[in-house]
This record gives sequence, structure tokens and C-alpha cells, in this order.
Amino acid sequence: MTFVGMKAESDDDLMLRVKRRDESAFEALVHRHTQSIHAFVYRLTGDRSDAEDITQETFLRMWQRASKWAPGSVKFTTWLHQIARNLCIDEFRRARSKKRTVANDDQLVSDMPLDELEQSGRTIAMRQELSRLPERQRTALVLCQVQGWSQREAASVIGTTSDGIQALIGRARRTLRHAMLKRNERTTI
Amino acid sequence: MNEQQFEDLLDRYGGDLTQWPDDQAQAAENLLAESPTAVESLRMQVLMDQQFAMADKPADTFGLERRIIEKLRHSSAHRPLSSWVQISWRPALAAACSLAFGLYLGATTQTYPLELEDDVAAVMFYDYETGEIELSDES
Repeated sequence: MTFVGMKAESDDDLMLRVKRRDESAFEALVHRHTQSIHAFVYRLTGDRSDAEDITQETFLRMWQRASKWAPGSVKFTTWLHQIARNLCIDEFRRARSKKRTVANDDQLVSDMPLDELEQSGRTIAMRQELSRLPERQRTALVLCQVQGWSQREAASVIGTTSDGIQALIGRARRTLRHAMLKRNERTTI
Repeated sequence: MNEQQFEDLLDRYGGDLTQWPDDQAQAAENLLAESPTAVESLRMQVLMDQQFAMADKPADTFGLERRIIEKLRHSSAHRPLSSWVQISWRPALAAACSLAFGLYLGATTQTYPLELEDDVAAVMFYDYETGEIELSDES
């Protein structure tokens, strides 16, 4: 909660308190960042349940590893997204053979009005194609194009340069575009 | 500009031609006037960009936030040192008492030297033929 005229505590200040095992600082960070971490993870995994589990685990790891975090070394949000991304990669490895998202989405679509159906169909197609991209391309695209991060910030999360991010996004766009065009061809034939 | 160059720029800048450098945007406009393939690629990129822009509405994460905080409270990872002390003092005290009692017994109990007393020595014989046991007093 913030009051008029009172400056909100920065992430760095809150993290310094978390390092001293201050639960109220942890709660403040949870309230501040859960939505963006959840959105990021959901866009990477495409599964709401996984997204909730991974988001929860991200914050618990943040608490456990607080002693390793140093202000100024890396932006707090970057560090938190790195944790979330690593957990997503672990999840991809575990669930490589599972294909749950598509079925769930198809079920949702069956209840939609017709005018929303085309839009939803495209959304689902995009999500499916997005999930087929290599993890680094997907993360770069989600961070920069969906979450609106700068290429430099995204580069810190993935561990590459801004040029590297540009290349990853370019390849992701092309792969997605071609895949979507192919789908269009199949449906119009 | 050919279709390949157009695709490269589409990868780099996305489907909004106003975000392209002016000279390349102009060359792209010229290509679009004569290439249906380029038009189709641009149309798809624009659709994808729109899709990303509207993405999913941010989920209501209030319940999730509460679960995270609760999870931390119940997790051992966050337990402060004082609570570990509270939990472990009883077994530690019990072990210390046992040790002290053992030391006390060891210090106060009289011990005897190990010497053979030959007043009475019972020797046991086993008779293999009869299967009987005989006790013999050799004193």
C-alpha cells in the first residue's frame, strides 16, 4: 500500500530487506511482480496450471536465493525473470512429450460465439506455433514483442547481446509467419 | 527491393511500415504494388503483430499472490534461526542429560581389578558318548 506523497520502496530496497528475512518485503515484491511473472510464464508454457506452479516456485526461489542477489549487479526484474525462465526450461524438459495445451484450448473454443471463433482460432494457432519455436526464440519474442521489454533487458535474461536478441526475434517472426501462412493455405484448399 | 530483402526487413522491423527506415519503406511500397507474395507476407505479419499486441488479458493473480505468501509461511526455507532453536532444544537437552548421567556413573562407581579368583572354578564337561553335561568343582 502506498500513500499520497510517500515514495514506493524500490525493488532493490525491498530485496535488501528480503535478504534480512523480512517477510513484509517479500509480500510487497510478490504483490508487485506476480502478474508480470505469471504472464511471462504463461506465454512461454501455454498452460495456466504450469504457469501458476512456476510463478509460485519463482518467488520461493527468490526468497531462498536472496543472499546471492547483489544490488547493481543485475536489475531485480531481470533476475526474477531469469529464475522464471530457468524453471520453464526445466518444465519443458520434463513435459517434452506432453501436449496438453492444445486440447484444453480446443475445448474452450467450442463454447464461443461465431464472431469470436475466427479470432480465437488464430490465437490458438499462434500459441501452438509459438510453442514449437526454440525456447530462446520464444523467450525473446515474448519479452520484447508481448511484454514490451527493451532488447537490452531481454538480452540480460537470455544471456546474449542486443544483436543476438534481434536475430532471435527475426528468426522467430519468420518461422511463425511461414507456419501461419502454411496453415492458411491448408484451410483455404 | 526483391521479395527476399522484403522478408528480411519484415523479420527485423515487423509489419508496421511506418517503423521502417524511410527509403526502405518506400521500396517496400513499390514491391507490394506488384508482388502478391509480399502482400500476403505483410498481411500475415500485421495479423501476428496485432495478435501479440492484444495478447492475453493479464490474469487476476490476487489468489495466486496469497497462495505464494502462504506457501512461504509454511515452508521450512524461510524459518528463522530462533524457530529452529525452539524446535531442536528438547532432543538436545535429553541427549545432554543422558551424557551427564553417564559421566556421573562412570566417575562414582567403584571398579575392581581383573584378577583370577581361583577359590571356585566351575568347569563344564560334555560327554560325547552319553550326551550328558557334568559340572565339576576343581577347588
